[in-house]
Amino acid sequence: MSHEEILKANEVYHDVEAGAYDATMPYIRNSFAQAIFNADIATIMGLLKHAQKPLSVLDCGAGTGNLTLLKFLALGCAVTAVDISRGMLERLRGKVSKADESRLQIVHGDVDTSWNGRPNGLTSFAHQASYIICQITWPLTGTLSAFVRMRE
Amino acid sequence: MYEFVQREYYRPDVLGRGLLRRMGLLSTPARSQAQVAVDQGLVERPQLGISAEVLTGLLSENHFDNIITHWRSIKRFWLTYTLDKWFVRSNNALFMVAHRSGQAPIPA
Repeated sequence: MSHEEILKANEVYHDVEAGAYDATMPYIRNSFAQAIFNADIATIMGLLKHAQKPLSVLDCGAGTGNLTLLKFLALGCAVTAVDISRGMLERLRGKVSKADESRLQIVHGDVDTSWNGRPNGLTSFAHQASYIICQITWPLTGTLSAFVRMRE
Repeated sequence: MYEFVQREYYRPDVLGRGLLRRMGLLSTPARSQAQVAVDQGLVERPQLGISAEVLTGLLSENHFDNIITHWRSIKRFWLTYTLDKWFVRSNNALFMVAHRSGQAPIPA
């Protein structure tokens, strides 16, 4: 499978999952995993709160906007939200309030680094940002999944 | 213990199926339609498409000077998490924060 095919599979997967993502995403609904994420989010927000304003944030892998909407826009940042899935971004667009729309730029793109020199969501928009945030989970659980997901 | 009981790891047939799947001798049930299209061999190496080192390099080129980026394990249960983090080391989550304290470069 080529890198292009990996990206396409990633996009298709997230497009399919987009509709139910917020309601069913196990990493959001699971308290143990969420506690790990919360520690990361606390680190990020600690940096942003003490940073010089105004802030512009590039959110790579923004998904349905749980960080973008609930954290970055709420803090007053201007946000560029990049995601490989148009479906996820449509969900994000549907959730943003009128008041926050002017501070949000939504970009369909990836952050794949395997092709040197190819423009992607990171390289094309990094110049706009004072902070770049990326907190993504590879959803197709890997090595241990076949061992631990015996019942599924 | 909760996970052990919940997933019935104490049952030999459950454990046996899991081991067979781990060895690739038994197919893993697909979670969604999209997952069918994905090569499971590549799922084992999620960082294949996104290298933390290359990301750091790209950010440095864009004058970011405070960069934290790494892949690591995120699992739903503490037992899985511990095994994955310390023994299997199959990282499945990317964490990155980068800050540019200086002037942004002019885009080409």
